[in-house]
Amino acid sequence: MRRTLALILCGWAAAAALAGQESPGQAAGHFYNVDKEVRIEGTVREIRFEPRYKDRAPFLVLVLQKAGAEERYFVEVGPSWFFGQDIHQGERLTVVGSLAGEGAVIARQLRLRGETVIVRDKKGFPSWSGGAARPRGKRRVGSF
Amino acid sequence: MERRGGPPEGETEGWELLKRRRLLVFFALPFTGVLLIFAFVSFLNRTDSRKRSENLVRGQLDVTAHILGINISRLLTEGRSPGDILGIFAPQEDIYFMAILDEAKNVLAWNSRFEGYLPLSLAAAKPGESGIIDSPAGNIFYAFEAVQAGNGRAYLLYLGHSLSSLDEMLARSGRNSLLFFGLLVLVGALFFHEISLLQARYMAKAREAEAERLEKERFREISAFTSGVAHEIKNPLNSLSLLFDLLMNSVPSAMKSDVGAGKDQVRTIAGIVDRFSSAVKPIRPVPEPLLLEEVVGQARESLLREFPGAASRVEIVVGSGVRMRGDGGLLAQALLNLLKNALEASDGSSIRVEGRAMRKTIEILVRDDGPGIPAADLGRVFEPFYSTKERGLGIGLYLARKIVEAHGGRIEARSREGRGTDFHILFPGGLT
Repeated sequence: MRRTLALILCGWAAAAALAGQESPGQAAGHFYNVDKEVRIEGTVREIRFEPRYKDRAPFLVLVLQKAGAEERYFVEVGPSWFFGQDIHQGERLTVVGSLAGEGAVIARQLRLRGETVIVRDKKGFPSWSGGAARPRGKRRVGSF
Repeated sequence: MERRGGPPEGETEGWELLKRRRLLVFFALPFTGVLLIFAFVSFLNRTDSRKRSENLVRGQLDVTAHILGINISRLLTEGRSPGDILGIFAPQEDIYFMAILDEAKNVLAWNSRFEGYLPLSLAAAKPGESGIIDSPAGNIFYAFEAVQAGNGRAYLLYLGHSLSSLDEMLARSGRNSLLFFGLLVLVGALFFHEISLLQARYMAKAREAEAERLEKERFREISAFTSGVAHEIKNPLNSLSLLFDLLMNSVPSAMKSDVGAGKDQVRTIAGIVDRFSSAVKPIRPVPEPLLLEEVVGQARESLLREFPGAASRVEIVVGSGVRMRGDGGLLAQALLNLLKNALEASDGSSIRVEGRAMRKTIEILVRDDGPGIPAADLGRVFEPFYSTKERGLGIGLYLARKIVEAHGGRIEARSREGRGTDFHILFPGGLT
């Protein structure tokens, strides 16, 4: 609990520091592209909170090192208030998402410690958004 | 024994079947039909409303896309970047996303109400298809508008328009329809319940009326039969009585008492036949204004004529000036029968007659302090020819009940063994 709180506070601080920079979410290619889906297994190297979309809360971004390689990906998960899982540096993680620019991935599903967390549906619609669609929960458990 | 309340044997099941079939055919089926028609019409209306609204929105979207396309074309001609252009247009409430694409459908700039969500898939699109994929965010309508910049370069404007308000409206309409449907079902159920109750009551009344008709018919037959029998019996009895009169004048004195006894027996038989005839005849009172105290007085006098020693045992407590309407002779006869019954049952103890006017009824009570009537017999005291006495036909109380009921009243007996018996009579009338 304390660690999560510390992470959140760090995230807000990071967001404040990055406030002046252009958000990657505003870039032309930064959207969930179903034609560019990938599956990446790796290890969490950093946990960040960054502004991603204009006038939105900071997003949880994980720096994931691909297993067996030096490549690193910036995995955008979701708003800091939405993701309720505890996540730590060094944990193994499998991500399904869409490539969205150089080294950037917009996550759809994360598999962590045997549990699957769904943050977007198969077309990229965010689970934390309301609207006319069916109700969505904060977290779902399933398989790829 | 009287038979009341039901159809003849063997027809009960038929009546029930008929009742259920009538209820089904005349009420349940038409009402169900009305509900189905309502549901179907409601469904058609909502479908039609939805289609019309969708067409309207599509039309509006096309116009919006066209207008935006003209503006974007102008801005592109002026050299603005796609990102700057989208920044100029503040997203409207119903615009879910906007994107400017190049000719090859590569996204140059975009904005959306949902972070990272732009439903476009070129890999799945067949040649000639737009590549738009269905959105799970409810009803979203799409438009692709071709935009030409001044330098001849072609772009595409991709718009997504929501119909959330329509969805809400349709959902509300659906809920209202469901509520109204439920209300209709409830009202219908209440209506059917009342109708079936009314029908049950009507059927019960009809059965009672039929039973009454049958009873009256039977009574008419019995009455005609007994009148005939009585007439046949009384003719030879009259002849016998005359014969005894002749014998009285011609037999020796020692035999006169025997002849007299024989004539008494003939008279007794005639009396029995008369009482039997009157028991089965219908009672037809001739109503006239009466005073209750006069009716009770007449009954007492008749009793004392038959039982002179009973004067000290009978106590009369009747309110003065109590007016009623009825046949004085018949009412006095009914009271006389009750008094005689009480006298014979009480074996020396007192008899009390009370009469008074209540708010809507006239109440008469005949009470004795005799041994009472066992509970097993209490329900039968008004049956014809039922008697626990050695003498009598057992029709006195039966006649009393017939007379009371012919006047629109009712009579009941209350008794406890060892504690006397009350006969309670109520007539319509009273103080009002």
